[in-house]
Amino acid sequence: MQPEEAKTLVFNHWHYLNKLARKRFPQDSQLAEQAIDYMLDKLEKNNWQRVCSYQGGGFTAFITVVANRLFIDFARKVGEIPYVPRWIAQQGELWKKIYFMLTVKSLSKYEIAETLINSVQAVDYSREDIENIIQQISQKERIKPKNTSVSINNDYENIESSLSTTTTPVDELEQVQNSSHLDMLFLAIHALQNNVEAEDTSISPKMKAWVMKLKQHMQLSAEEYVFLTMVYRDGLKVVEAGRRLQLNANQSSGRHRRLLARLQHAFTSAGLESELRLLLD
Amino acid sequence: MSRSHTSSKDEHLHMLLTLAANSQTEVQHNCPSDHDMTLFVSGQLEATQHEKMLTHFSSCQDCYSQWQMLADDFEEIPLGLKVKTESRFMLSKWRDWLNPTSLTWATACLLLMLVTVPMLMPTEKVHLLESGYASLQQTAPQQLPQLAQHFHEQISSQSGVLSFSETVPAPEQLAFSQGIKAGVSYLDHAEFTEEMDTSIPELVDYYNFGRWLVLLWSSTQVTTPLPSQFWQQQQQLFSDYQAKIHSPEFDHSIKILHTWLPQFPTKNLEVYEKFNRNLTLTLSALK
Repeated sequence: MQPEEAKTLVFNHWHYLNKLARKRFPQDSQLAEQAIDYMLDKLEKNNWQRVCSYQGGGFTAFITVVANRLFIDFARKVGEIPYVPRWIAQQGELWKKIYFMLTVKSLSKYEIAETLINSVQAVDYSREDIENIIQQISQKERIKPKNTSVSINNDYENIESSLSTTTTPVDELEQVQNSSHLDMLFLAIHALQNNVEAEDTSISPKMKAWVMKLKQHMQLSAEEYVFLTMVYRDGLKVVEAGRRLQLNANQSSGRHRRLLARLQHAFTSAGLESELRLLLD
Repeated sequence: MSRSHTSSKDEHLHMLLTLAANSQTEVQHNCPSDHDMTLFVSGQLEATQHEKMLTHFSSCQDCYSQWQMLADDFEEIPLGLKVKTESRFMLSKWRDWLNPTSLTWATACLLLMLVTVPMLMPTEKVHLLESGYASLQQTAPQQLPQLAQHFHEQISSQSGVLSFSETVPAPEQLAFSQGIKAGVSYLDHAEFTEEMDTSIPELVDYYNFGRWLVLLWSSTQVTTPLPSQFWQQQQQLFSDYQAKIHSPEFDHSIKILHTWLPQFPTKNLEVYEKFNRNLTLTLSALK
């Protein structure tokens, strides 16, 4: 593709790209403008080289991929969250804030808890609740906890001003309490897989043994793994997760059903069924 | 935002343990290039590459998040917006190919069309076409954005040849091209503003034949099997066109359709793929 053609294509998508930027930075239209400028600057570089590398597959899809990548770069550069995973967004503003502090500000667990514990937004949360949220996000998103101290300066004020009131703290706390049993288990399980130090989480040797046993009885393909991740970790509907894997509704439901059956069988074969029942009861 | 899958405690726990047992601690394969990511999100990556990409996503949180973000974008940004930008691009292409002779001819067609369309459009056939499009849209609303995108490129590369070649196009060719464009617009939910000469019934057939080809081609791009009724309608429409269209340009196309159409519906997706390839080649051959 010639540079002139690349330029024309980009400007033909201008309205679309603006829309994307506003979607990525919904709270701040000025920031969205800056993101667009940043993107254009990068696209123009070396005579539109990156756009010229387009080799087919649909230009809208291509420019969306490139623009999103550039928006992520920009977000990281200016200290914004490039993307909040859906399962975190669903939990509410406090969770999003903690995610921001973990990923963008790179604060340690201690610093986050200290900052939030005295804030108005976390008034109904105990330190334990906050630490629990931090731990869940760190583990599920595989964010390595920081041990070093990082200056937090004016972050406190920023956090206070930017927290919205769409979900009340009481609601969020209720959600945490309702799901704490499974989520804590999830934490421990993931900790096992990610070699998190024992002091960061309480991992029972029994649970470790379960995972090892299960490994021998249940092997997932990559597609099955991401499918289950989307459904059970990210909270997508089965059909929606399937669609992202180019499966139609019937195929998605069928695959899900078969996976459940396979799992049931694997748990029984591994002799884990009764032990898990005891735990759940 | 969609509601999550409602699972029992047992089921959730089983799944989480399974994910834990299968999670990768080391990143598999390199992060995808812009091109590979494009092909992946638009569903055009070949099977082995697709699998490789999923393996990577299962071990790279960054790329997995990017994929989810793109999937959200494609779902949440209204189709009309995407179409608008593509359509504008298409129109600019068309403008390049248009020469004064074609423009004069098209203007004349437009005037004639405005006067005669209501009288001459064969309503039953049009109804069949509309219901065909409607059922396709209902069956595969999610595939349409990708489909339209893919289609735009195919059509834009063919359209110049089909109707705006260096020599003045034959009226049949122009009608056929307009049918194709109208079909694409219909799939895109975009407004189709270019009109055609319907004072000559044969031209209407060519126009509808173009629209019908878009519909047919689109149906082969959709992985969801379409109901038998849909294919019965398509065969009925085809019989009409076959009886009416006598043009050397379309002979090959009609021959292919004649061979393939009776095979549908089938559960064998390869048949659809082969048919689609043939149809693509046929449309390209209409240069």
